[in-house]
Amino acid sequence: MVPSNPSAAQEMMKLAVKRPLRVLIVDRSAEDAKRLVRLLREGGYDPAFERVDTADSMATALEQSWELVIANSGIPNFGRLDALALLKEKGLDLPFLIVADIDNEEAIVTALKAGAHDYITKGNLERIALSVERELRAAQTRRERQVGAEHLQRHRDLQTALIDASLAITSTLDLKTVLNFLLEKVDIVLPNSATTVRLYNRETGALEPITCRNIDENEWRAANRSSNRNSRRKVNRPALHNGFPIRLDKAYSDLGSVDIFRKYGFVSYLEVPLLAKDEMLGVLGFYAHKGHQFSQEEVEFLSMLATQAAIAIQKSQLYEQTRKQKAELERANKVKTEFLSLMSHELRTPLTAIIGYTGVVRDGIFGQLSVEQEEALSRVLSRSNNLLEMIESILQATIFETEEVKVQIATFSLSNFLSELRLLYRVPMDKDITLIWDYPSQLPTIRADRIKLTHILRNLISNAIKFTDQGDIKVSVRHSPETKKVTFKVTDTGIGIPSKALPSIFEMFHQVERPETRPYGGMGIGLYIVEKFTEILGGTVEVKSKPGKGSTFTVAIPDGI
Amino acid sequence: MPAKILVVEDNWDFREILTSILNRVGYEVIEAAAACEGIAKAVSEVPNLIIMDLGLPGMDGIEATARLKRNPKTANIPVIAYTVWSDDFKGKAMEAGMAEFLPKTTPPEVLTEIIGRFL
Repeated sequence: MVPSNPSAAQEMMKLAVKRPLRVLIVDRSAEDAKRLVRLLREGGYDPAFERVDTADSMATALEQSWELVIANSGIPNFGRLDALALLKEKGLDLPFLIVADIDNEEAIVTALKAGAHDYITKGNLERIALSVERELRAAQTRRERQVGAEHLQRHRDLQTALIDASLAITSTLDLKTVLNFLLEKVDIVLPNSATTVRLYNRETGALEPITCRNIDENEWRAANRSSNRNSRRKVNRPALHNGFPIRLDKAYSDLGSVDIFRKYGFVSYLEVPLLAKDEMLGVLGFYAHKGHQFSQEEVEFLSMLATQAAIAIQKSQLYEQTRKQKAELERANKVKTEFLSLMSHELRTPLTAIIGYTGVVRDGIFGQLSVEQEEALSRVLSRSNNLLEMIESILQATIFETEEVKVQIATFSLSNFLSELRLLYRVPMDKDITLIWDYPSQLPTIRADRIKLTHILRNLISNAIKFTDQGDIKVSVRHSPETKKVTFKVTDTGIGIPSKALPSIFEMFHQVERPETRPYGGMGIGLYIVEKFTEILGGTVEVKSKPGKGSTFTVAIPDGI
Repeated sequence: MPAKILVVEDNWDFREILTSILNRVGYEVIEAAAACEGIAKAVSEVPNLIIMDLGLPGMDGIEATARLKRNPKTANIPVIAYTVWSDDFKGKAMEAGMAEFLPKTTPPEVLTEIIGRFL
């Protein structure tokens, strides 16, 4: 007969070469046991057997490994069901055959229900080899299924671990916390292994220890320090080169800090690169005890874990970097503010003295002046006052940056307030501009911050004067008893503001860039102060402008906050 | 007899400027470079008016004014603040008993006019 398929060929082999079989026979009679063995041998087996007839002897026998149990009936005090129970107690899943009387159907059913796999009637014992073969095969299938289920469960555990890991890295930015959490997950695949995380320092080129698990951290760090000191070349590790994991089964010679691992009995080593967007961040090292070889599944899981770790590391590094930059920016900003404040204070005193002396000379206190001399000194005064205003604006702006601005609300007459404001513009301007004051003769008293209101209007009026060469500047004031609001409107016939520049004119140090060659002085602080003060007073500021025609700034503040 | 004005000012430039302006108008000027010196001179000389800088070393001009106002011998002498400090301090200055609050940039003409009101 020519075998038509591989399994048929196996059958033939079995016939030709007797298959070894370790069988435990539960039987009172040695004769009956021998008969069973003979029948098995005839059926193509080469049985190694032991006969037991008490619970004790069976328990002892079960310390060895068996492939099959055949139990006969008729032992007093130790029946088939007792044998089955003992087997279960030992956690063994062996094929269990019973030899039964054909007419004792009830006993057969009870045994099968209790977990026996098959039965052979005494009159039909010749068929035992076939029965054994079927049961061995069924047992094999059961084992495979069991392994499959375990494998599946393990796969699920690994999946869960990876999901947990990715949740962990999204929920915290603290590097060590995330890494330690990830390392815990390593225990799922490698319960007794040690894990290390080292990061590559781009400046020094060394792998620096970050965290570890299942070994003493201090010892490990010390070992790393000495190995880094001894050899800088240790950085040229395979995992760093090609980005693939490396496996070493005898890791002694390749580990920078072998002694410590040898001390713990670790021999096998797996190194997985920490790669994020093709950037080599460092390596994850796994150390296992002698006899453990890293399986493909383990390598894959650990590589995936390494990917998660790499993301966590990169995220944390970016966060740290941003945090540092933020602190640096804050410090730089503080230094700038302090510098500006100090500068302004220091500039103010000599400049004020210049204004004082110039005033004294111009007013003829030191002797009569020619018209030209007086005019020139008037200009010196005017420019110096502009300069002083700028310095005061800087001071004001730095105050916004460093401290909270207090609002001082008081009741005052709006008419008085405007008369005082007008006094500031009594001096004739060296431009062909008319300043028109437009407000009703009867204005009420209001509750507001008089000083801040002065700043707002002075800034708006100086701006109007600055950007107007000729024409009118109109300052209109209205009080609305209904809305309890005071509206100030400063309109000029100056150069105007291009519409695209309008949104940014209230920013500090902003001045509209102009194609004209004529420079306009100032630093772009005036409108910043106008907006800040208006905001502090709970008011609003609006601007309308037409380039070449002029601008109108409207500030409305509540009467009584 | 010309009116006597005490100038309490630590900065030499501003003492010079004030003295020039006030002498020109015909006032007699006494100078003090610190608050304590100013108080002492106010008590001994009893001037008709005091021009007080606010940012003085040690005791500031506001505190000095408050002390002058507590002393019956000097309580009635008008004190005018003369300062680079912002208007934010005007309230405090007035509270201490100052009669006016003038920035140091006040033109001589305006300064003499205001001083004239008190003499």
